[in-house]
Amino acid sequence: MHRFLHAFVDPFAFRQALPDVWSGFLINVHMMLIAEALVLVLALLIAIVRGLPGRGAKPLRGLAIAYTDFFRGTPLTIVAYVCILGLPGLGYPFLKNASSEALGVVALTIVYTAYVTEVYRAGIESVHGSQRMAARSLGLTYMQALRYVVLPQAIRRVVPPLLNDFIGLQKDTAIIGAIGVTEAAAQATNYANSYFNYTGYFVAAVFFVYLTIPLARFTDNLIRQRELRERAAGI
Amino acid sequence: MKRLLPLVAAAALLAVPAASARPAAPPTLKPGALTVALNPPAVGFQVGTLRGNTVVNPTGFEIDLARDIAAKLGIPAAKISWINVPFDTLFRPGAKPFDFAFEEATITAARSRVVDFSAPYFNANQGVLLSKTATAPKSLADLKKMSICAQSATTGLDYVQHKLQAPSSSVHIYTSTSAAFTALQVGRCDVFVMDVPIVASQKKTKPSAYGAVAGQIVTNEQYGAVLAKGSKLTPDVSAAIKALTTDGTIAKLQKKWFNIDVSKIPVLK
Repeated sequence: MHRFLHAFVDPFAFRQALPDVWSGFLINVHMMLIAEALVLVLALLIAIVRGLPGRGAKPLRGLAIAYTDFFRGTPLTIVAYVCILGLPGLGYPFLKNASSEALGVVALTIVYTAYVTEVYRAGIESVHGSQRMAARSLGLTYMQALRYVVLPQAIRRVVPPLLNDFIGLQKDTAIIGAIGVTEAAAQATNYANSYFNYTGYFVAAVFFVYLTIPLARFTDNLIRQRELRERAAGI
Repeated sequence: MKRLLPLVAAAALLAVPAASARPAAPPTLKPGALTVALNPPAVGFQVGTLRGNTVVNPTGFEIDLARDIAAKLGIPAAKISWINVPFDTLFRPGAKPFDFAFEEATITAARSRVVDFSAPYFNANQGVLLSKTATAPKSLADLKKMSICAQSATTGLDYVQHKLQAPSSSVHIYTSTSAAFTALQVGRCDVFVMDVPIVASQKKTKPSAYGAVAGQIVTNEQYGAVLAKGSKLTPDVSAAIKALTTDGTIAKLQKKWFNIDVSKIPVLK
């Protein structure tokens, strides 16, 4: 037991590893915030494209389905290697000069957009068709009905699963650390390899957990508020 | 069953003298066989194909050396199994899945606390390999201003972080040597700091992928085979390496696999 504590949660090593892991963790947070903003917008667009009606939109729908199918099933590690080491190899100057961190954000965005598209789609499909018909019969166009009637209800319903994916995204920023971005997990690995003590990983884990717990409580709160509201409306 | 019995009896008869023929079998994991850990590729030292955790058809300096050591231990070359153990897990404390590991591991005091090292079999300094677009650093101060690729858990990374003290924002860490070489090739960084023989051999194999080997940093490192802490095999491996050094085998192997004049590479100060 003593040996276990010494290797994983040693107070001295905790303090020693803290500054490096913290500086790495800021990179995690940075990558997560940018990627999440991009994901929320892109995924909504793709979800809308996927729901477009009519035969004319068939190729667009096909593209959206192909995208989500492919990237939802591709491990993030593979996408990240391709983005960070593969893309700069193409030789285009703007890719060559992009930082590993920026390319890592691209990889995270590509993969998580595929997940979140499905979340949005579930939300949109959960709005009863009669809502849409009522909106159209009032003279709203397809896009207006989507914008003012369907999406407000759909997005409100999927906020909890969206936040869940947000937490997943935040954790997966650590994967980028294996490919040249010195974020928290890479700093912890480095500490472990230099001092043969694994407390650095514990430090990194503590940081991640500290960030996810408030998010989880926030999600719980949102769900509770919605329940209260909907129940009151039903009486 | 009846027909099997004579076979079993014959096998038993055969097995008994075979086991008693060599009473002083070296204390390997599987008696009479040797498990050697590698982490290819390191051009010159070891290249091979990975099939799951095993390395198929490895060749290189360290492979030849391992075969020579096995011969000294009385183990035939056919009884050697080659497994892949990633370098960044090599110095994990505890039991090892191999008898010894040849992974260009520098002998350091910190590592010696968690693993055993054999007698040294190679001397090396740190080398600075340029990307195709970077200009060569003239001094260590120049090097510090460049963006640097390094491999996790290496003495090269340790040098960059703790001796050179390059700012962490300009140090890119990769978990494998091949990822770091690719990163340098595609211009993720200006230089890759890694042992001279490794970068010089790589440059020789793929001359158009990188810039020059711009310099070396004198660190006087020695490579040793890595064994589990307190392994009973350590003295045997050390004795074999010492014998192979004295009789000139190691020098011959170095000439065969490297043939690089390291003294022509400028020393950075």
